[in-house]
Amino acid sequence: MAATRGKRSENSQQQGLRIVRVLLWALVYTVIWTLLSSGQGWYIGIPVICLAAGVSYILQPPSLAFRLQYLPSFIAYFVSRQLLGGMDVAKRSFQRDASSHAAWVHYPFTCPALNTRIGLSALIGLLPGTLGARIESDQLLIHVLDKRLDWKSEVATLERHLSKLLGTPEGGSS
Amino acid sequence: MTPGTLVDILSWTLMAAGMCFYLTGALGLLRFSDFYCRLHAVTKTDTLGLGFLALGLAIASGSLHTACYIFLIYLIAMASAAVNGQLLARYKLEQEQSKDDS
Repeated sequence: MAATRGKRSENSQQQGLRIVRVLLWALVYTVIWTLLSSGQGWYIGIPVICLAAGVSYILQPPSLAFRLQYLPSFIAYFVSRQLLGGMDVAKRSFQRDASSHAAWVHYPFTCPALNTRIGLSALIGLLPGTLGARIESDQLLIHVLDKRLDWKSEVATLERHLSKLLGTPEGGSS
Repeated sequence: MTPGTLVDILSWTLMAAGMCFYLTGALGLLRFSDFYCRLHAVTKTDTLGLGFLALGLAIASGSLHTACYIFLIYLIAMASAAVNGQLLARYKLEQEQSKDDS
């Protein structure tokens, strides 16, 4: 009986947390709309914000929380790698056998947190030579432009930076 | 040389660099052999090209408000490029696998 009551209160607590998170996302969407539209067009803005908040409620995106002290180092790292990534593809587009060493590879996650994994799978698409395709249990399926390059340490470094930024546990070195 | 001219040179140089990245992205789309390699070209060079273009436009605008506005648009475009690249790769992969299974 007590166990059932405990489970119920846990469920309602989780539901409450979920609603608070969606309200936070709705606030973020409202701020974005206000900035982008200069506070106009609310007859479109309000339905769009409600729709986006509804989708957030269903999909339950990860928390927005991050550790501000790690943001500058993350931005510096990410911008420099993004620059290299763009230049790498630009250089390859002029080469004759530009995509002859492309391959599919698996990266085993070292961080167990879902928000770090989701962030990593999306952001590696902007790093040199890597493109995340799918999360497969504890691995990430990646398409690499050149399998001879050290793609693994590239992905591991971004994972470490993301873990620090999002405050999630860091795994062992890979 | 006046400060205004320097700002103009800097902003136009950045915008020209942005355009070069867009062009190489288009070239990659034409030259890369398969769908996934082409996705690399679209996501990376276009995002970088937009970054240079946004920086050039922000400097040319001479207004902090406009610069912040452009920066916000760039952040949203960058996030959607990263997510779209992954979603397109996943969709294509699943399509290919379901074809193989049937």
